[in-house]
Formats: sequence, C-alpha cells, structure tokens
Amino acid sequence: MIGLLKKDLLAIYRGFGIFFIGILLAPLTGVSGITAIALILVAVMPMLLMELDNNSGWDKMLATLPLNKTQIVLSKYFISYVLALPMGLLSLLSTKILPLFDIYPSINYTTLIVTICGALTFMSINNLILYIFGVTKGKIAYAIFFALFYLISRFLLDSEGMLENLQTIIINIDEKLIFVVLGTFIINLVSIIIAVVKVKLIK
Amino acid sequence: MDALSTKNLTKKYDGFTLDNINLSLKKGRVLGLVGGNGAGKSTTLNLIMNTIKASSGDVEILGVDNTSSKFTDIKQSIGVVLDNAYFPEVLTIKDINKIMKGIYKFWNEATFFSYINEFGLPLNKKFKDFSKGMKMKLSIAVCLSHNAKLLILDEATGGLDPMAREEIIDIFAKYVNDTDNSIIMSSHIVSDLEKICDDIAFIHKGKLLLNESKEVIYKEYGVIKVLKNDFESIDKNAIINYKINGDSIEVLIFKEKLTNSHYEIITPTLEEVILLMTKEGVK
Repeated sequence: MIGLLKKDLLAIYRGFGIFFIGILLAPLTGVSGITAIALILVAVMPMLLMELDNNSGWDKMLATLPLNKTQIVLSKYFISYVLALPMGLLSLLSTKILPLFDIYPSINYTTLIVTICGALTFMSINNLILYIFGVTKGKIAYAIFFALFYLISRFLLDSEGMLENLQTIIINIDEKLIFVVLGTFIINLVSIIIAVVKVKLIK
Repeated sequence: MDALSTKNLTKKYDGFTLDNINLSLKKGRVLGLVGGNGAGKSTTLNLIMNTIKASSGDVEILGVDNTSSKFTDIKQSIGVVLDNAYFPEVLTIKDINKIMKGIYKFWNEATFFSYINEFGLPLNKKFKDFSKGMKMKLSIAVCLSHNAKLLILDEATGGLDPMAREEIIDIFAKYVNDTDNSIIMSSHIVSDLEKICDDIAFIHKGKLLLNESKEVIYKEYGVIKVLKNDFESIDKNAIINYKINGDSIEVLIFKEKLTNSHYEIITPTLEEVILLMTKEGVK
C-alpha cells in the first residue's frame, strides 16, 4: 500500500503543484476558516484522485499489480489521513508560534479537532458514495448530497434561536470531544467496511 | 510444473462466447496468442489475470489457482503489459520508479533505469507527453524490472515501429534464455510471434482453432495448390481448410494424411496457416 500512497501523493503534487503546498501549509495561518477550507479540500482529494485514476486507466493497471482490493480501497482513505495529520499538527503549532509574534490564532484545540473530524467524516461519506455509484455517478450523487446538506444547514441556521443553540452546542462540545472523535472513527470504519465489501463483489 | 495452464476456460457475453480454452505454457517457452480483432485474445488474458470473472473453467499460474487469495502474492512474479500503458498522466518515469519500488518486493531500480536508458526514454517528462511507442516501452521496462517469472503481454509490440519491435523481441528472447522464465503474448503481428514463439494458439471467434508448437506446425502442416477439377481427388481426411482463387484452390492439409503424393507440398508460413484456417467453408 506504500506504493499506492506514494502514487497518490505524487499525483496530487504533480497535478496541483504549488496549490497543494498552499493547502498543506494553510493551517499555519491559525485562521479557523482557512484551516477548515484546507481540510475540506483534503477530504475531496480522494475523489479527484479516483477521477484521475479513472481517466488515465490506472484502475486497469491496478488490477494486474500484486495488491488486494482491501489495500486499494484503504489507500484512498489513508491518503486523507496522511494529509490531515500533519495539517492538524501545523495548526496546533500555529497556536504556539503565532502568539510569539503578537498574532492570536482564531483556531483552538477544540475547533481544530472538530474540524478534522468533520472533514474526515465528510471524506468517508464521499468515498463511500464514489465506491457505491462509481466515479461519474458518484460525483453527481456527491453534488446532490452536498446541495441537500447546504440547504438543510441554511434552513436550520435561519430558524429562530438556532444560531444560539449552535453556539451552545459548540461551547458544550469541549466536554464531549471524545464522542466526536469516536463517532468519526466509527463512521470511517463503517464506510471502509462497506466500500471493501462493495469492491470485492464487483468484477 | 507449467508456468500457466487453463482448463475449459469459458466466458459468456451477450453475442460472444469464449469457448473452452485449454492452454498450457511450459517454463522457458513462449506461447503466442493470435487472432483477429474481437477473437477473444484480450478476454483470455484478462481471464488469466482474473481481472474479469470466468463463466467456467480454471486457470493455474505458477502453481496457484488464479482465484485463490495466494494469487495476489503470485502477481509479484508476473509482469503484465496491457494493450495500452495506463500510468497516471501527470507522473514522470522517476515517479513511476518510486511507486513500483513500493509495490514490488523485488523491484530492481538499476534494471529499470538501464531499460529506460536503452529505450531512450526521458526521465522528467510527464507521461501524458509520451508518444504511444514511448508509453509501451515504459510498460515493458516496468514488467521486466521486478524479477518476474512469467510475462503476460497483450499487444505489447502494437504501438512500436519495426526497429523498436525488433529491439523488444530481442529483449524478450533474452528473457526466456533463463529456462525459469516464460511468456504468453498476444499480437496481430504474426511475424513477431513467428520470430519468438515456441507455441502458437490461434483463437477465432472465441474458439481455439489451433494450439501447437511451431515445430509441429511447420512439420505437419502443408499447402497445396490444385485446380478446381482436381479438388475432389484429394483425401478429405487430409484437408484442414481451403481457399478458392478463381480456377485454383489453395488447400491447407495435414502432410501425413495426404495419400496422393503427386502434389507439390509447400511448407506454409504461420500467417498462411492462420489465414487459410479462417476462410469460410471449412471442410
């Protein structure tokens, strides 16, 4: 699987160049919004990689290599983990370094963990959609899912008192952070299991 | 132990059936798979690699059933060249070396770069900017650089010019000098197969019409040219197939079964055998 991760990292680097470096270093700004956007872009990377694989025919090549289907599926999840981890560390680093220069980051430990968990949950749902429907149909399903998510979020946020409730949730989440991490882990695990089973059934 | 064997390998599609393919490839030998477009050559190779599921039949490669979990490990010893090279377009040869090093246990970087050098391929150019010939050469370099015991080549010489084909055929010939190594290769270019193959399997419309060693084909098959009026006098048991050319008929025969020996028997080329076999009006 190391070879597949190398391939994905190289493909992202060669495909997106300086933009990719920018995404990786974005958490150093310490701005929660920028970090969140960078992490969401990382969560979308597997989809872009699957599309690249599909277009180049790499999928056909993969079938001839000494790799099993579990390794192939796992690599598309691991690429997000491999990228999200250093980004999280950079973000934490920003909270320590930036104050030395009188710059105070808007991101804190809780927001960072919640943002990473949110991005990885989003990635796991996105990957599952792609493995179930294939890359072309999966992208359409993903767009519908994303549009619905946006509309529901808008509706909830526009509802009276919902913003206050949301702020209360964010304040209280600090105590329940372990459940957020655990929930993310379970969602990712279930997504991986379903994706592996789905891929093993196809030939 | 055979390097490869298939037993009653069958794949059914709507409107096409690859029917009961029985092949055997001994170690140290080269098996050529020949046939027209859509004959079933690529389907056979895909079934062998288990990238498509067989309707029935078995495939054993290097002593392992290709549907067993051990087959993933056996793929370490198999080099595959598909009809097109399918590497991610944004990558360079240096990148592909790094990736393959992480995939193949016995990846030999020195061998890989020596082939790259021999083929004159650019190290830092992106794959999407390669010509078809360069792409195929890269695929061939990859398949020869991880100590594979069996090469599965699907139209590997297809996109190459005659000089490059000659060069590649020589490399494959050197590869099978090691009696542990074997090759199964499909090609439209019968002259390439004639140069390197020990055994020939001819697939036509999903059926295996011929599966012989090249030696046997040259020794046992013959062509005679007769006038239409004389055709009836030929022993029917000797006739494999025939082609009518105006007043004369070209007949593919089994030399040993031909009793009327007054005809001049020509030893056919592989291409002539194949062309004569595919003519409608099989005896």
